[in-house]
Amino acid sequence: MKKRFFVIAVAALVVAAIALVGCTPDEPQQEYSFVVPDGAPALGIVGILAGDGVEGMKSPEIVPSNTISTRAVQADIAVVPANLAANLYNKGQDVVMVGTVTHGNLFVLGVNTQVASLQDLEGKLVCSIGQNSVPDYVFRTLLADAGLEIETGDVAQEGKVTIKYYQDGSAVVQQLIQAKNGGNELIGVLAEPAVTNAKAKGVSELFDLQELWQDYTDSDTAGYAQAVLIVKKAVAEDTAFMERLVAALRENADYVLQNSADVASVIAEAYPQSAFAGQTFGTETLERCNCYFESAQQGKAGFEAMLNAIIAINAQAVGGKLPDAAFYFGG
Amino acid sequence: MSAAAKKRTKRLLSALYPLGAAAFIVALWAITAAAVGEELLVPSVGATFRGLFAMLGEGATYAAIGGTVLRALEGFAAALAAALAFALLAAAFAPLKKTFAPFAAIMRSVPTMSVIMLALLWASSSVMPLIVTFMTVFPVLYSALIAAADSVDGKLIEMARIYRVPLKKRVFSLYLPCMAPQIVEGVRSTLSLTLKVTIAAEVLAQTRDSIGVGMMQSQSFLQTDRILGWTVIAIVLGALAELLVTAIAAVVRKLYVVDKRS
Repeated sequence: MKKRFFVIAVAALVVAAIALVGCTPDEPQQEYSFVVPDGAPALGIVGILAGDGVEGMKSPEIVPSNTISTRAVQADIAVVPANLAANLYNKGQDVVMVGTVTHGNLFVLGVNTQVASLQDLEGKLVCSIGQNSVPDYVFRTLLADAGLEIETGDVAQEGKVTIKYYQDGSAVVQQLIQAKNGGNELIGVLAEPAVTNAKAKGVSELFDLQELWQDYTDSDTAGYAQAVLIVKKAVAEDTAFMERLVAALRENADYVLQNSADVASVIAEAYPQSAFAGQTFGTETLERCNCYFESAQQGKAGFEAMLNAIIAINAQAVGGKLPDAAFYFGG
Repeated sequence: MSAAAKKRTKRLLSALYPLGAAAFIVALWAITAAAVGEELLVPSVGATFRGLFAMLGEGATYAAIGGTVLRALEGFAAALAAALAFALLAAAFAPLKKTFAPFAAIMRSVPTMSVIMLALLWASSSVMPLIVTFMTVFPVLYSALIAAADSVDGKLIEMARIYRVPLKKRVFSLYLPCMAPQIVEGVRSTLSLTLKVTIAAEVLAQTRDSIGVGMMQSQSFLQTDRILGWTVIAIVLGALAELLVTAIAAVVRKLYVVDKRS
């Protein structure tokens, strides 16, 4: 009896091990695989989803944003947050950054508030999204630049900006509306298209963090590298394919603005559980999502400025250091 | 072989079996890591323990462990106190037991996730894990304690009733001593569950100073070795908690013997 149990247990473990081993990333592939996190990054490639695709590549697969790090390791092509791209490279993954696809869609909102500058946030509670993500680092860098001390917690503290993190934008909107109805002051950091929804419910917009970032970095354009496109080195060496891919990415910005009414449904069709399912966005909202392609060479200085800001807060988020020149495609 | 030698061999073997099982798990892990060959997906055993030791050198790790243990204990203590109170009431008054039954059934079936989602809206990030832990652990403990109360010898209860033993005395001299072994077993088996649920709630509430947020951060920083490091820490904490309960139970048994043979 005991022996039989032992045999079954060993057999089960062996099967489990084989199943795990079966998940190895390097199966031979005909077409390149492409993963994109749900949400704003998907807007950076929605034109490819809607069109005929790119020859030599499977249709982009939209995945939950909290799984993108592991999915990006396995895929040939991926859209990932800027810090994750650098982190993957610094951790020895053979990835090359092709360019930036979204350039920030972050806004500070408020209810029952007199806040007129970042300095006025001192002593206030701010509900924010995405702890340790690019938006979080952008906001914290700007606060620190304004001479503010930052604390994480549930209640406002004298002399500091207290940030309370939530899993997603809808939770922040909920808090803002609750505070508004209760007559309480509350500040929130949110990304488009959730910002437009919140504003429709009576929440006021206080700051455009893309513009504040432009002032901070003294650059020509508003925004920062938020989501970037990376490919495996072998893909980057496939010159003909890369030309087709970059051309498709360049066309995306026009597609988004000319087909604003369809954008959400195209994403939801490919990924029914998308945060965008059942929504329709206006052209103005999508313009504020800042999705256009900028090549790695064009955007390198801005990208490095962003990574340096992150390194100043937490170097682990980018894998310890700035990536070297081999990381940037077309160098 | 002498009787003493046989006994020694037996004791040695009983220590070897769990060690062998642990070695088997580590071996399986090492083989899987080697087969996958991708540290970011399945870190090697060595990398994980290097990550773990690096974590043990950081103050933040202890703040997180302390925060999580405290939250788990608070939630657990509240659940145990409530379960004990309700189980005793139910045992003492049959109509109450029937009244509590549907509540207990509902609490047992409410998905943990819906408790989490609602608690996220209602409570602060440090209180939310407590609520979730309580809601998950309470029904489990309540069921265990009700079963324990049911197992108290009916004749003793009958006797207490006939001799009009006061309620306080009935609780402390009859019910609790008779239920003690099952209470200890219930506590021991739910402590690990408590820790698991608390950590899950911390991830979703993004609770400051918590193992949950530590794990989440490790995930977003691509530090898979650290996710496993946190896992090892959680397993050790669960094992320590069980050992502690066993030790306390042994002490209590010595001080307050209820010998079933008498």
